[in-house]
Amino acid sequence: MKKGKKLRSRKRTRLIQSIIIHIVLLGLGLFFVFPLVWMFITALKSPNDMVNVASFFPKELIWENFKTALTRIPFTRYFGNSLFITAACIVGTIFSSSLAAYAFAKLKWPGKGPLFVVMLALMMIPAQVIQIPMFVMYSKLNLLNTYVPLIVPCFFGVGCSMYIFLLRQFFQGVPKEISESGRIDGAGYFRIFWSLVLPLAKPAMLTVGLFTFMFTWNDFFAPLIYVTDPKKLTLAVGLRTFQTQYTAQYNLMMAAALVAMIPTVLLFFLAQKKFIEGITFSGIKG
Amino acid sequence: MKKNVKRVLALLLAGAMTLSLAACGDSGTGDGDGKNDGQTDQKEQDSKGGTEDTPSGEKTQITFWHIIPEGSDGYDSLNELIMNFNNVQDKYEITHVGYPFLDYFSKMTTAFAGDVAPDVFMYTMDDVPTRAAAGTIANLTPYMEADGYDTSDLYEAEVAAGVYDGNQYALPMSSTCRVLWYNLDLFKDAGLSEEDVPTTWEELYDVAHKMDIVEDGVIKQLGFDPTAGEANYHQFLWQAGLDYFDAEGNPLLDQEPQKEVLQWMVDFNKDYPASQLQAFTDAGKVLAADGFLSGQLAMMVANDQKYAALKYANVDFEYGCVPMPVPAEGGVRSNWSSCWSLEAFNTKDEAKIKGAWEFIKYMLEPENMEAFYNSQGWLTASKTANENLRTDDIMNVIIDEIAYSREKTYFDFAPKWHEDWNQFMELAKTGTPVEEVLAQAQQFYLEKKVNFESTN
Repeated sequence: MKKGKKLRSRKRTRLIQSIIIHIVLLGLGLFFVFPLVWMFITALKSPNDMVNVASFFPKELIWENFKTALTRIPFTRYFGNSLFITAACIVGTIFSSSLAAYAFAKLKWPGKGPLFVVMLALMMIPAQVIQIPMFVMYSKLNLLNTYVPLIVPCFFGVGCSMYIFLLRQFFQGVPKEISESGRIDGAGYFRIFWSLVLPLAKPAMLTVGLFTFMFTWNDFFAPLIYVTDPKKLTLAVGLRTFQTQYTAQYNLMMAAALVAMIPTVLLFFLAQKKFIEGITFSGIKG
Repeated sequence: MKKNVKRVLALLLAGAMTLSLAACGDSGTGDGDGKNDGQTDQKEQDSKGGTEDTPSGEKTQITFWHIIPEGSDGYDSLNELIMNFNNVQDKYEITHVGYPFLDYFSKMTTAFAGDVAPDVFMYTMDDVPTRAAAGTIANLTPYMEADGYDTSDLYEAEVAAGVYDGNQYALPMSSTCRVLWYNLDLFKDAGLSEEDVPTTWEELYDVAHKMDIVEDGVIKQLGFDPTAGEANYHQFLWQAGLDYFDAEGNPLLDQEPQKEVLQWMVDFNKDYPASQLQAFTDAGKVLAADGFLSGQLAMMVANDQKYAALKYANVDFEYGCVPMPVPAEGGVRSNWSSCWSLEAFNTKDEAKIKGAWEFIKYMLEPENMEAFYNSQGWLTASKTANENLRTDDIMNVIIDEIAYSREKTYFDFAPKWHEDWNQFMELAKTGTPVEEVLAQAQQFYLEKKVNFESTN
């Protein structure tokens, strides 16, 4: 009897705790999803509803805003440009970061330690600080209004310190016996890297790819300053068309922004598990 | 053997990547190449001895940058207007690019830095001397004199703003003025009529406070706020017959009349804590609407473009505008202008500067100014064109006010002095005594002036 009572009491306590936790998590979840909800509601508003601050919800749902937003600006072109640049940057980042990380993790060479510290220190420098000299350099090389300034640095590890650090951590966890077995079989450094170590690093590389996608897809500043031809602009820059000097068509901007978000959201849901693993592994939230 | 093959492959890879950098250097598209095409043209012209007329009858390529991006309202008609320049003459070929307003200045700054600015561009009229002094923009005076260009159709104050060291470096592309917009429905709700729309500061104070509504300590409606919209300290100084600086650029902020004007601004809504006023204005900003558009601010100072915003938002209240009220005694009818300019980049390429000048002249023709208005709704720089825009009472008020608008005086030691003032206005709004705020501001500008003079 007494045992039964204790058991029921414990179950009730656990139930109450579970309910409280769920309520708190639901509240937090609503808090974080609110900006998206606001975007969606704003996207359905008319210009009159935009200025009617008394009402959060639109009087009438203007689904046409999505069509207007996607046809007003050359959305497909901007989307394609963003996709191309992002894909190229993913390839370049994974290529350069993995090579550098492997060298830092597995190879012995003079100055490795100090150079790694210097590389970490470079993470402290904001990109905007070096933009003007980079711009002047590309200008002298006659490479402005091309995608070279946006893509090629990724192939040389520019801005990849974080990913090199992440991959180095991972490579350090790979047992040295694997490298040794490759060496016994006569494989060179690159062969060991390419055939033995890299296949084991797929989860880490996927993480690097995901973060690169997020940063590049949403990158606004670099396309703004390097690209002058409107045909080559990206989505991030193109969305600004809705904000003029004196008016801002936020309803159309939010409609276009929601559509622009779809690839990121889809990618997150598809690679959710790897994404979270990558964040917890590296401590990077992005 | 295998090692040698690998070394060769590694070298080949490095070589291919280096070559790809060079191969990607050809930007070669039509629109929006900025200066890249121009630089190529310039090199070609230099190698051929660079004459004003392009050899072999080829047209000189001219690029024009502006703030109306593809996809914005009226872009198609603007494109037609600009490209028609190619049809009315056969020496120059114009291409143009529009960038969003908020990003335009970043683009221009980096373009100047990289020496890849477009041949002709829009910019702000109030800091033309900065670019003229730096040699960034071309002196238009020789071209104006050669053509006998008459600026009498343009507003004198705006033309004067484009002068530096006795030469004309920019001409106005548009006009702006500030007026007092009022919500007639809120007037009627407070038992007032259109006759009560104020013309003096004293009337403004009385009428505004009849329309304040505060419920449970929260501002629901405000009659007027001297810091909302485009009302600012220097405009009120001008209207009181005062100024920010004297003719030599010495700040006058420590003088009693200047203090009285700021005190008037600060005291206007002194019954409401600064935090409440801030919340009232910020709530509107968060939801992308200002207090006037959302029908919660009965009167607001704003420029002529507010008319377009009101029409776009299809507001459901009756509204109008009047000249900004001035002090009953010694008041001067005046408002702040901040128009756009047309400027030519100083490429040192005579042909391109001449082409830029021809395009500027084309855009400033009254019928083209009117076409620009029809495309974008901006007041034109042409008095003749503006006369054709008097379509209703509101436009009549706005067009009349252009004659009373003035640009801020440029001072090389503080080219953005009106923006520098914002930090002091914040102090005044949040409770720092006016005396102290103006003492700090006075010291700030004096130090700027002394530092500039000692280093230049």
